[in-house]
Amino acid sequence: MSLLISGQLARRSEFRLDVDLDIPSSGVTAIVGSSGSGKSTLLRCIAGLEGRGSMSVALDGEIWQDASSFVPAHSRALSLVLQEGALFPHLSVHKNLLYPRTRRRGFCLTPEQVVARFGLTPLLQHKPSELSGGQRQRVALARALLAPARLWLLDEPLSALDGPARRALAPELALLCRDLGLPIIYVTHTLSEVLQIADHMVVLDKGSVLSQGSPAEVSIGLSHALSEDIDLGGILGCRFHAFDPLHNLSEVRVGTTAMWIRGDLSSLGVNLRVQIPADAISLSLHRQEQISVLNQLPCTISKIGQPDSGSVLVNLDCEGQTLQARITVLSQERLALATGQRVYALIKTIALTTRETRDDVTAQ
Amino acid sequence: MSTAELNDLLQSLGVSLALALVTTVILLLLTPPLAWWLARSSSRLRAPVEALVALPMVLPPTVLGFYLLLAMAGEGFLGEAWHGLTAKPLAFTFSGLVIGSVIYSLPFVSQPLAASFRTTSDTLLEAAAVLGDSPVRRFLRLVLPLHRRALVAAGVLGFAHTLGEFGIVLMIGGNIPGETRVLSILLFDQVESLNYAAAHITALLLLGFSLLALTVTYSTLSRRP
Repeated sequence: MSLLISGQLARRSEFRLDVDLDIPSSGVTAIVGSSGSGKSTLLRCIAGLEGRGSMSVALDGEIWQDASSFVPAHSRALSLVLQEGALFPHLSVHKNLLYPRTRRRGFCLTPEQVVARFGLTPLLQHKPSELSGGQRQRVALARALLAPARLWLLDEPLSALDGPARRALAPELALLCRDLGLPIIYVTHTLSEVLQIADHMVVLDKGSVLSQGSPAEVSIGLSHALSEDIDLGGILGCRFHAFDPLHNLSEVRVGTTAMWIRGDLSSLGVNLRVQIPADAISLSLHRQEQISVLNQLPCTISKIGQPDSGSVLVNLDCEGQTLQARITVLSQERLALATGQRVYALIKTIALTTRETRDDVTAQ
Repeated sequence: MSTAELNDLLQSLGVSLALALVTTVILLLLTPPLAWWLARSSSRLRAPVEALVALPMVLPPTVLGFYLLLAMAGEGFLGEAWHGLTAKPLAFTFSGLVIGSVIYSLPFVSQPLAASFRTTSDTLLEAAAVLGDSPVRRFLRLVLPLHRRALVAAGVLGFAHTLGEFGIVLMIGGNIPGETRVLSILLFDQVESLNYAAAHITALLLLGFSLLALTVTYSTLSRRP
């Protein structure tokens, strides 16, 4: 059971896509890459909107396109949510929802179910132009659930939204992805959007696959290769413990070690993934008592990378999980760091919340 | 105005309105697919076809009328085919006029439609496709409703332009009262016979229709979609 995509797509003698992918056709697969990496093109090839004659696509053995055949987009049992939602401007929300009418076979909900699920009752008679960006995207998600599909494709479903609308819709979308039971391919340039929900991750760069695997696997070892806007850092699995409303901090546990993250994370479930950028970690040989940094994780150095313009990447084993710290070569020399050494990873709580891309994970 | 003159006027008005109505209905059925193709196709045939469709806008109506007259004559290809189908002649009949009017008014319907179709967002078409609509269903369920104002405007323009037709009617329709004598021909007759009083009324009627049609067209097009 899998989705196979392979081939090369060139435009004006320049490769835009050169992939050979085998994506599990269950769970959530995140396709992450910076703009121009080919991730939207890949999605459009799967949907049958591009790549005719040059790309091969097959879902669970059913060939959707190859060198000699092509199933048109409307006959493919998939649902696609486009970046801007693409609501039909001349139709009310209600009529937009009633638009899908097809004899395609697959999973879909009834209009009553989606209206209830997305809280659309007060919006039904409105025209798309009267809705906010977040409302429009909710209607688009709801409409996509009304067309029978065996595969769900989301093309940057949150990219057109501003901060507050994003923060409102992101957990709702994550919940939907977990509940649907359909294979989902989620394209984004913002890792935090998919961090909690992705089962499988594909990182695209300049049209080819840079790395794929579980989010934790993918995040390690990529810090050098990725463009700035999707600096992954390490991903730490942890358990939610408690929320302290007085200080607006959530306490989570990595093994037996406590860690604090800003904001109330209780709505995300018990098992959380926290993204920790390599630049946010400082190393210390001892536990520091008189210091403002809240998070001090005991780790063992598992690998020290090659120095690169004065900095070096240090892999840390923390309760069986891998983190990465980027420190200066000078610090490494002064502390005489070596593989196998016990150190403390100091992570400022604030460092986990300051960057916009991590906003919705930590501040919901 | 005498009773005879009034009868002439009403009769010609009837012929004009019937001709414009039938022509507009036919054009609104034929033109949308053609305009869609003209707006969206990348075929090499597009430019020549577009030129052919636009020809009546630049050609003197008498030239078009002359060729149509030849085609509609008993031994012309249109006349022969029509005779085979209906056992009736085509030239100098109402049916002949309708065929001529459809060709003559085609660009006035297809051009505003094609201009509007060109603005169709690819994203909306793709959204409809992934929701399960085939190209034909997309056209009927999405494109036509999206451009309904352009359809109204194009229909009104086609209607008004057919009402104002003169040269081509003169060539292929002649001047048969109650059959092919339209308002513009009546006006010509009235001026020829120096009946300026009656001519004034006919001219005013045509002027009013044209002004009304253009007002409807522009106000329809300028409203927010």
